[in-house]
Amino acid sequence: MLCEKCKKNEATIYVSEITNGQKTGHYLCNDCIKLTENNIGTQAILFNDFISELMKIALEEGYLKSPKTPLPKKCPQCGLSLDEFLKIGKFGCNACYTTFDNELRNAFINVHGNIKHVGKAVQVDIQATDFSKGKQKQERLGRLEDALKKAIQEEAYEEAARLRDEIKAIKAGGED
Amino acid sequence: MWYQNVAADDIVISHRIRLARNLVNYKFTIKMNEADAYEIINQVKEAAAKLSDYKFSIIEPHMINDVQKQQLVETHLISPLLAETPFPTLVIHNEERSISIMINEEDHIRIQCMQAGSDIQKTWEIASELDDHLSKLLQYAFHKEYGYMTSCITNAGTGLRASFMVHLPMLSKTGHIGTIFESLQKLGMQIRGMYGEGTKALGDIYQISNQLTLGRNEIDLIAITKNVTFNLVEKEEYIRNHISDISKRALIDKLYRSYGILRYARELSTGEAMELLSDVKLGFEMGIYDFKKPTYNLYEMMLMCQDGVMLSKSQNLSQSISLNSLRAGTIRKYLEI
Repeated sequence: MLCEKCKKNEATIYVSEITNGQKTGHYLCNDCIKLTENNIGTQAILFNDFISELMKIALEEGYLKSPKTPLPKKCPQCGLSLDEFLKIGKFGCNACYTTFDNELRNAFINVHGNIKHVGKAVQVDIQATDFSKGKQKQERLGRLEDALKKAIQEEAYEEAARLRDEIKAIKAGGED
Repeated sequence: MWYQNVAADDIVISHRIRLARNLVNYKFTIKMNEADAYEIINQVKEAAAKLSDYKFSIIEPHMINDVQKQQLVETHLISPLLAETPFPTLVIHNEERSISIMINEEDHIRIQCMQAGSDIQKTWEIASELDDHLSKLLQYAFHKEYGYMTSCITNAGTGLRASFMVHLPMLSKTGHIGTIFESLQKLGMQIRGMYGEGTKALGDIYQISNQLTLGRNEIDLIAITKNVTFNLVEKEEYIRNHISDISKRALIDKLYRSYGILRYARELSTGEAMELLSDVKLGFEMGIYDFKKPTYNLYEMMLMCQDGVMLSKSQNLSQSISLNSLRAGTIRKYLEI
């Protein structure tokens, strides 16, 4: 297929953009894509935007269970925000997989058409060894942090304080 | 080097298995700091040192110059991304460079196994075995639902990218490749140029790989990639075998001319050289020429005339030298043999 813009070179890329809620798409060649990028002042119409687009569509259509006024959700371990994650489609650390679990299920469906891994796995007998202590610790932290959020929302401050101290102790390496 | 085993008359040039892995106690590359990067390097290096059977060597990309880095990209040992990463990175590789581990690319660990030809099953076993060894020495980030946790959502699950590098000049010349691009995407497959993401298909060489990584096991993902590739190879062969007499006469003329230019030209840009080498490769593959093929395979020649590879092999780098004339000279030398 020839490039829609210069009508000379072979189109190598499909560019889609959303303007005023209208989706448009063009087949362009490498030369023209460079021009387009300059024109609209963005550098990445490529794959990252494609992912973010998919996620936005999912949000708009309500696949993603996002509250009307979304809390500024951030990963407690690496500080990656939900916004950043939706924009670039990249995780900052393994804890992000727990932090953004709600959004992830739908993101995975959009990107992979699936939410359950099959295939190779880290063997169970290895997980039971010392190697996985760090991981268990993180999973536990994730659970505690969720509980803490819930406790605060429910205004159960005593419970929240207890959880906060426990999290602090684990983070300090006390309970390994 | 593994690419010296490429048969000159094959549409399938090579294949590759890539596994993305991360360590559990470190942030992923977009959030990590330099100290983390060094620690990760040390951990993986120590683990690799225990696997003495592989006879691994090490390259520290921040210790080599840009030309050498470019050469590593051009011969596919490292990705363009790794060459540009501002963080400390490391490449661990075996003697043939068919097995390698990139550290601190998009993920902490990228296991990469490449081989000439199409026996991807065997290469998968090699990659998987190295992965098993490393998983016993390092703490991988693994999620019971989502599998191997990767930096990018597009790699999560198996972390596997299986790819074939194929030479599809007739599908390109006839313009069918455009339609193929579209339909492959619908199948969850990706087709790209010779050097991966965002690169042009220099010399009509394409990389076909799986796009989806979650929800299907490695064996299935590899099988799908292989089936799609072999289907494209059949289509390429079909066109080669069914061109009309008039078209064939024109093609024969074109392929001889291309050979002639390569044999005698004094200045060649990368683009032109790759286009002509693709023609000559096609000429040998179709048995069109009435002379013997050179002892070097054409794919190796394509690699040898890339800027970085050429410069890193050239003796006197201090002299200013025209890349285009160096390229023409390199190719003439190969064709004389």
